[in-house]
Amino acid sequence: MTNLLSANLFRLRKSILFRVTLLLCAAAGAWQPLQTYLEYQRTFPLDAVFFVYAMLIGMVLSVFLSLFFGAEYSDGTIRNKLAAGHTRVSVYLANLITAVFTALTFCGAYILCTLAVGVPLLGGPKAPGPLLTSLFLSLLMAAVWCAIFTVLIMNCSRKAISAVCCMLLFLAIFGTALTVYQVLEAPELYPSLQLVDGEMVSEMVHNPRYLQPDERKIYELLLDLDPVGQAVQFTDGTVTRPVQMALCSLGVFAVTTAAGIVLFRRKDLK
Amino acid sequence: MDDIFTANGLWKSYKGFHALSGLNMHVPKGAIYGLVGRNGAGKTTLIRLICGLQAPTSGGYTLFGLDSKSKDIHKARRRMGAVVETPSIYLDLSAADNIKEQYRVLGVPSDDGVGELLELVELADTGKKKARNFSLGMRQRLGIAIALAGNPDLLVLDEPVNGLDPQGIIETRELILKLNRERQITMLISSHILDELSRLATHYGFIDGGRMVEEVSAHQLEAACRKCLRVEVTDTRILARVLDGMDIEYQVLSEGKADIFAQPVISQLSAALAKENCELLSAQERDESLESYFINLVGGGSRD
Repeated sequence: MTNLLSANLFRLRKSILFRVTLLLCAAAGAWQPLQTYLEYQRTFPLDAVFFVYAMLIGMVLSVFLSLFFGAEYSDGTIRNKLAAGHTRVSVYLANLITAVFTALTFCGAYILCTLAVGVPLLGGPKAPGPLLTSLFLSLLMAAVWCAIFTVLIMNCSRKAISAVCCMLLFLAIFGTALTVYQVLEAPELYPSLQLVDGEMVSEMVHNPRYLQPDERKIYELLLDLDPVGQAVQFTDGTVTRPVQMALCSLGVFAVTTAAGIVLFRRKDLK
Repeated sequence: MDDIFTANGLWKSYKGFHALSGLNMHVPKGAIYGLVGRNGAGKTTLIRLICGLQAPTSGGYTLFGLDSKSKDIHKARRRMGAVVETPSIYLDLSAADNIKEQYRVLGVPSDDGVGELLELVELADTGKKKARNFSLGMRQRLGIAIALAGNPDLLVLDEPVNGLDPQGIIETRELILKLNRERQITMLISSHILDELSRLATHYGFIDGGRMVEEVSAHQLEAACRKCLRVEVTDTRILARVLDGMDIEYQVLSEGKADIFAQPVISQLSAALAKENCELLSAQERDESLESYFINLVGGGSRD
C-alpha cells in the first residue's frame, strides 16, 4: 500500500486542482480575521472566527475529492493499479488515506493563515484549551467527510455522477444538521401576547416542541453523528460533549469505510 | 511449451446474460496469441477477468501457474501489463509523469528507466505536453509504455490498433513484434481486425458466444488456409497414384475429395485419370484467408 500512497502523493503534487484549492483555503484563512478586524476591530475574539473552515471543508472536499479520485475512473487508471497486482482493499485504503492527508493539508493551510493574520489583528485565543480540543475534533470531522465521500467516489464509475452525488450528499447532511440543531435550540418557554381587558399582556408559555431529557439525548447524538452538526458546535463555541463527538466521528469513519470496502470488493470494473 | 495462462470452464454472467460460457483457453509461453471474435463475443470480458477488474461467476483460470481463486493471484498479476480497451493514462500528466506515476504504483525505486521507455514507444520528444493533447496513436503507445513499466512477462492488449491511422497501426505492430522478439514478452492480443492480427500472431483462439471455438497455431492455420485445388473424383486411391506419378503434393479429404497443392493442367490430369478409369467430377480453386477461416468456423450471421 505504501507504493499506492507514494503514487497518490506524486499525483497530488502535480495536480493544479490541488494547488488552486490549497491556495483558496489559505486565502480564506487570511481573509476571515482580516474582514472581522475591518468590520469590528478588536471587539471580536479570534476564537469566534477560528472554526469557519469546519463549515466549509465538507463542501471543498466534496468537489476536490470527486474530481481528483474520479479521474481514476474517467481516465481508466484504476485498472493500472489492479492489473499491477494491488488488492482492492489496498487501493481503497490508499485513496482514503490520501484523502485524509489532503483534508488535513487544506485545514492546516486555513488554520496557519488564520493564526498568521488573526493573532496580530485580533489578539490570541481567549480560551486556548477548549480551542485545542475543538481543533482536534474538527480534524477528526474532516476525516469523516473523507470517509463518506470515498465510499461514493470509489463505488461510482462516472466522475460527473460522483461529483454531483457528493455535493448533493453534502447538502443533505448540511440540511439535516441545521434541522436537528433548530430542534435542540428551541426554547423551553416563549412569550405569548394575549388581550386582557383591552390590553396586550405578555405571558411566558411552555413550548410544546421543547425536547424532554431522553429525546434531547437522541437529538444530541444525531447532531454529533453529523459532521455539519459538529461544525456548528465548533463555530458556536458550544462543544460540551467532546468524548461523544470523538466517538461518533470514529464510529462513522469505521462504518462508512467498512461498507465502502465491501462494496468496492464486489464491484465489476470496466 | 509451458502455458502462461489457461482458462478452465470460465463463466461470467451479468444479470442473466452470459458473456463467457465455459471458456477454455491456453496461452503458450513466448507466443503472440491472437484472440479473435466478433463484437460481444467475450474478448474484453475475458481480459477484464485476467486483469482482476472482475471476478468469474464460476470456473477459473491460472496465471503463471497460480489459480485465480488463490490469495496470491495478485502476485502473478505483478508479472503482467495490460492495456484494456482505452489506454489507462492520466490526461493531465505528461508522458514522463505518467510513467513515473506507474513506477510508484509498482514500487520501482528509481525513475532512471523513464527515458528508455519513452524512447521505446517513440514519445521521448513530447516534453511537458499533457497526455490530453496527444493523438490516439500516441496515447496508445503511452498506454503500452505504462503496461511495460514493470518489465512484464505477459502483455495483454485489448484492440491495440482500434481507431489508429495506418501509420499508427504499423508503429504499434512493429512495437509488439519488437517486444516479443527482443524481450521475449508473451502477448495476448484481442482484435477483430483479422488482417492485422494475421501479421503478428503465432497462435490463435477463435471465440464466439463466450466459448472457445478453436485454438490453433499459426502454422496449423497456414496449412489449413493454404492455396489449393479441391477436386472431386470417383476414386481418390487412383487420384493419389496419378498425383504421386506426377510428383504433386496432395491431401485426401474423403472417398471422393482431395486437395491438390499445385496448379496442374486440368486436361492433362483429367486424361491421366481417365486412363485409370477414374472420372474428374469437379475442380475448385481454394484460397482461404484468416477472415474466411473465421467466418467458416463461427458462421457468417451478424450479432451486432
